[in-house]
This record gives sequence, C-alpha cells and structure tokens, in this order.
Amino acid sequence: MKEERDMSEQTMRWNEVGKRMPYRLPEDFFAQNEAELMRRVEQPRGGLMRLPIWLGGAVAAAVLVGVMLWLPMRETKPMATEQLYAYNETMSNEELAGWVEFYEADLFVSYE
Amino acid sequence: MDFNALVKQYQEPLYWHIRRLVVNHEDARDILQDTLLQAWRSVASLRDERALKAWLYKIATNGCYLHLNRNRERPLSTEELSEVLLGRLESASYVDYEDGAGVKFQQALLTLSEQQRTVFTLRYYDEMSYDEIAEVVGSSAASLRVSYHQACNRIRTYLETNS
Repeated sequence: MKEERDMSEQTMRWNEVGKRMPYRLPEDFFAQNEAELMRRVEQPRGGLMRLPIWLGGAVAAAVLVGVMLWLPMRETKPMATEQLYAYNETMSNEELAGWVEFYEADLFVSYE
Repeated sequence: MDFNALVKQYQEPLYWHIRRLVVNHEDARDILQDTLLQAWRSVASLRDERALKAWLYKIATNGCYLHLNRNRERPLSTEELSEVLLGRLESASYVDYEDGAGVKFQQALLTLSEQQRTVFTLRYYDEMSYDEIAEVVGSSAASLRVSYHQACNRIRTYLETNS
C-alpha cells in the first residue's frame, strides 16, 4: 500500500510538471532569429569572398613572372653589322687570330 | 521547400529540442542557426523529403553533443556531462527559477545518459514515434523503447530522492 502511495505521489509530481519547462526566451526571439538566418543565407560565405582576391593575386603574379622572363629576351636581339665591326675593333690581334683559327678548323664551314 | 519555409516550420521545435540538451539559450541559438544553415546547404543530398524532419533533428542532436565536447581532449562521460549541464542549469540566463517543479524535472533529465536523454526528449516532448527516433539516433526501435523505459525510471527515482 505504501509503495502504491509512493508511486502515485511520484506520478502526481510528474503530472504536475507535464511538458512544462522552466526555460524562457528573449522577446521576439524567433522573428529575430528568422531575420538573422535570411541575412546569413543571402551573404556569400567567407571562403567564396576570398576567391576573387586569390585569383587576382595569382593572375598578377603570373603577369609579373612573364614580364620578368620576357624583358631579358627582348633585349638580346641580333647585333647589326656596324655594331659587329665596331666590336671587332675592340678585339686584340691575338683574339682575332684565335677566332680565324677556330673557324678554319670548323668542319661545317667550307672555304673556296 | 524554400529556406524561409524551412525556418518557419522547424526553427521553434528544433530550438526547444536543442535547448533541452544544452540548457543555455545562447548556445541553443547558435546551434539552431548552424543546424538550419548546414541543412540548407546540404538539402540537395537529401533523397527523401519525408525524412527531412528526422534529418534536421539528427543534425541538431549531433551539433549539441559536438558543442558540449568541444575543446576537450576526450568526450565527456555521462557523469561528467551531467555535472556540466547541472552547473549550467544553476547559472543559466532565461530560466524561471521560481518554477521549482519544472527546474527539478529538468535536473532529473540532465542526469540521464546521452542516449536516454535524447530518446526521452524526442518521445516525451516532441512526441516522435520510436521509428522516427530511430532515424534520428541510428538505433533500433526496440532498444529505444528500453532506453525510454530506463529514462522514465531514473527520472522517477530522482524526483523521489530529491523531493
């Protein structure tokens, strides 16, 4: 009998609460939450916003590398004949003789 | 279903489910937002729209336990988790401490194991069927009935010994 009374008292305590909870909310919480969610879902994510900056940086770096490689190549164009003659004037007789000997021994150059 | 409709239909029940698991309003708010945004980004992968409700609750429940174990070297044991949650209940904002019976009942819930608490709240408050709960927690309906029965007994014992 005592056990039955205890059980019914427990049931009464449980029934007294039912589904009631002591938790409360700020006023208009769900309306504000909904507005915040709509704002966040319309905003692009941080990673995506950084993509154009990253891409722009990569393109700029590629252009810079290309310019650095192209500039030296642009400057090494063949010398004009007058410039060659002028360069020859700067060489000593020994240097010139060395070049003549070199070409005379060249198997791929024919002298008539 | 568009995002606005998804939010209108599910934000309130999801919020209360999350709140019952994490106690703090601020944490519940953050987890709720993360849940709905994550669900919206992944909704295309959901094959059956009828499973939407269980899927949302699954994301929310996992989010709660990830949050509670965040920055810890190992997951909390049942006793440790209960201690953390009971401590939160003592100091949380947006709690009506004048509702003594309500506070006592929530304290009883917070002493349950993770599985028992999740099953009990989904069954008792959200009135989900055991099959629906099985989709949320990934267990069989039969074992969930046992978990719910155990949870009820523990709550009754707690109310009796802490009256």
